[in-house]
Amino acid sequence: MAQSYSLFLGCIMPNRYPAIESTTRFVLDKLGIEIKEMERAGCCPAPGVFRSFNKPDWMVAAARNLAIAEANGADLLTVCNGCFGTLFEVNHALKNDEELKKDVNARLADLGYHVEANQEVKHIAQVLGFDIGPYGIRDYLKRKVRLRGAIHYGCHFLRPFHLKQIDDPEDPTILEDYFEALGVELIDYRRKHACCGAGGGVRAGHIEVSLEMLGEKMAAITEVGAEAILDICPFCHLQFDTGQKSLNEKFGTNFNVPVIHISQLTAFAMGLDDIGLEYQTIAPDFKLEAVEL
Amino acid sequence: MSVFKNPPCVLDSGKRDPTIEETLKAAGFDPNLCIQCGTCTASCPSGRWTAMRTREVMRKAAFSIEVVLSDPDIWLCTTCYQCYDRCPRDLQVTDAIIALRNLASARGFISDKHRKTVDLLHKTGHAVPINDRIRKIRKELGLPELPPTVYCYPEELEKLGKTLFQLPPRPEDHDEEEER
Repeated sequence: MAQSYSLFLGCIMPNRYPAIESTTRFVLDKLGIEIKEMERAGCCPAPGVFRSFNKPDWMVAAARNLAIAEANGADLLTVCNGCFGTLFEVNHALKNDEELKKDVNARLADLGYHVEANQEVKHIAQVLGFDIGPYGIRDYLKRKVRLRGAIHYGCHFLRPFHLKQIDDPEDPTILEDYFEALGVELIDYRRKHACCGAGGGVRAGHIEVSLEMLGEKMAAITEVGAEAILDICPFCHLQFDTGQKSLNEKFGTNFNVPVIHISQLTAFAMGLDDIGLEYQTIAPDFKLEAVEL
Repeated sequence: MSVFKNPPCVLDSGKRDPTIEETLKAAGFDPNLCIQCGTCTASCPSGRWTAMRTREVMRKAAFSIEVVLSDPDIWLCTTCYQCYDRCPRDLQVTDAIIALRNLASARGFISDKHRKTVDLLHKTGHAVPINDRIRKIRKELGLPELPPTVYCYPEELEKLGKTLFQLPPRPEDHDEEEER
């Protein structure tokens, strides 16, 4: 049986960076993975803001999304670190706590849902980087890319480590191995594994602090001469893309580094020319350079 | 009589509320295990740019000092989980901060900006709703103009809004915290 996933859209991907959605669909289709739509799904809800306001309500809303994926009969796939953080954590909590599951289901019943927590929650970077892997992906590539790239992992893909257990959060290699297989020349930079500054409701509540954190990263990325930032999360994507513009306006800096999501770069290497960079705020005229195999 | 002419500066206890310590314990942060080493502060990306010191927040909370709930410091955490993963005593620092935020929220200490994200969630089902520009781009990319999310089901959206995230009003004697 062909592999299938319930694709969880979330908020920022469909509503700000639809090109990430279209390239994700393109990549999954090329890999022969069937997508099951998650009708009626909503916000994950975001682990920074909504979990902070009311954790029990946050769990119920997340469990509702999990229930929609379960009704599809296919594991849930997210494309975003934030959604991954929320849905993975709630799924894990429900799996390991029968009492909690009973309480959550009691509240879900009023909304017309029931959750079993018998499925997995996966991140696209896990599917590409581990399940397919840097060797497996070669079979699907039409071309490689010539690019000096700076990787940004984001926080909730690897942390907290004792829950996620995907890769060492202090010195991971999963994305390095994968992007290298696509032809990217990787460059390290200072504070590579630091937060982009968007999470935790800081971007919403304290934009100046959020931009200062971003500015430090951007200075380091510019210093090493990266041609693009490679990320795996639409929220980091938004922070890098619109944040550079805000930094330039506020502090007179001159940051201009395009940001590319793992789905976009993979789609390009699989032969898709239009990966939607022209819709982005920063460097809309940036063109990826292909290397024939 | 005190031997000190000027009494030494000791922790200003302020008003205390034992529920704070209980909340920490329930969230996986036993204050008795914390050795106040400051690894959390050193790991904090937000603390690099602000006066927020994670160790200090946790110390105040461990002593149940009430002001920690109304202080905007707890809202400067980006939940990056570096302190959590690096704590030598395996204390779940980030989860403890989330628990403190929950307690603060229950008493109405939520900034107007954060209240706006809840309004958006109630109205659209998303923290970041769609707009006309994106609708057009979605069509150009061959995607359905509107993703089939809860936004397309107003009845269910209304029901969700009534059930989830009903925030208590701000306490009357507390003004919106000043911008840094």
